[in-house]
Amino acid sequence: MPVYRTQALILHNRKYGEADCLLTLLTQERGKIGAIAKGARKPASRLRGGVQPLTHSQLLLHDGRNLKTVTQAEPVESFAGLHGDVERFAHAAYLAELVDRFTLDNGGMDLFALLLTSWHLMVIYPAKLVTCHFELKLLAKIGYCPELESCVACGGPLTLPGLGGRCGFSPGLGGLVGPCCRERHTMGIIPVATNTVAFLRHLLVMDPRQVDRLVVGEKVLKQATGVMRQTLKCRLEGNFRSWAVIDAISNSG
Amino acid sequence: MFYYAEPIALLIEELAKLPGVGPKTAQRLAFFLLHVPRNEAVALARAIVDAHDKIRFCSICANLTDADPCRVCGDSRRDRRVICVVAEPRDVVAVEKIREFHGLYHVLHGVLSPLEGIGPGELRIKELLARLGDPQLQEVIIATSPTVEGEATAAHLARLIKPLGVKVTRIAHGLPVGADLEYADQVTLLRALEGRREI
Repeated sequence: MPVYRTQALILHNRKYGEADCLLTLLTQERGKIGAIAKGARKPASRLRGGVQPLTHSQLLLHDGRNLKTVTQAEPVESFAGLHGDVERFAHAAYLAELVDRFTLDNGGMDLFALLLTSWHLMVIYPAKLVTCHFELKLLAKIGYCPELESCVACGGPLTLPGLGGRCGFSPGLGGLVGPCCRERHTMGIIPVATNTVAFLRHLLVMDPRQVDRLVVGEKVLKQATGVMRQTLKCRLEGNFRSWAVIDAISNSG
Repeated sequence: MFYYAEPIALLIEELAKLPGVGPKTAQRLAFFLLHVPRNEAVALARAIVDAHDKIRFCSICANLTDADPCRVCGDSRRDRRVICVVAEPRDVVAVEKIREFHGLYHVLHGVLSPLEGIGPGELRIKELLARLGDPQLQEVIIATSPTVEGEATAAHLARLIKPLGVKVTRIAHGLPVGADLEYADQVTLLRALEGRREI
């Protein structure tokens, strides 16, 4: 099919040549794909609005020999609320980077709805909370869901009242290490409070539209963010570029 | 297998490092340069070396200059009540071309881009904030491009500058001259309507 219409989320937009843009798209039907939008940086370009990063667009793509070419682009949702708030913008870009780094070409179709929903939520609700929810759901979807119900070392069930603040999280093992095995596993263990465990468990099963009902303390959110970052770092064996920017923006504000 | 004599191979290799220049283009440029008169080749080489040696950042506005302060910052006729903040040195030239702006500039050298790892620390924001203490200053115009990154950078700057009691304005957004209304996207049209003015 040389020309086809698709819904796409613009993950990345890089300048290319005089006025072109190289795009990384997450489409509903074909997963992650690369495309070129010729002349999209010219002021009068009809593609311009539809190929901006962090936009949900309706695109008409032409299958080229190497790259797909965007022949028409119309924004479905531009998420203008993200542009005016630098913290939300940085977190939304981080979600795009997460999807880009964790998917191969033509993969990640099942992440389309999750990313789109999260960008919508990001406009209204606290960015850190939406990000934490996204990270956990993404790991679950790609098969790296952290073990939060039982001890990752021995498999013994972990009930919240029994943890008593003696629980730890092992990014390497990929889950909670209960009081039963804390003595034997000390390397790289992040201490986690009982509230943080409860929060992460709830995030994993909750309906994302109910994120506004969550009341989370700053300490719990910070600990959960730390746990998620270490897990992602361990899985990807590297850092994310957005982390430094998010941290710099948080510190400057 | 013999390909090229070492000086030609080196020239091709160096030219291929330029943006948008692939191996074939580099080869074509190298052979073109071999055929130009020696004085032209020397002039090109000297221009590159001179630009590298003489061009530096203006200590006031961070624009590229051969004299410090730059010609704009050193010009006593410029209006010191207004600073126009742009992303790149090229944008200073674009604004200067309209011949209507007589204030000063500040060049950020980029826009916030988390995906490229460009945060506030990579931009010349500290230098801008240091200039806001000038008692003559009344207004800061943020003239970053109306892209997602440009808007986020503008929002970040406004958040930092407003508490200091300086007026912050953003360049108007809307339809470019010569564009068709029917092909404008919703955001552009919305901004154009918001920024409408009486005629």
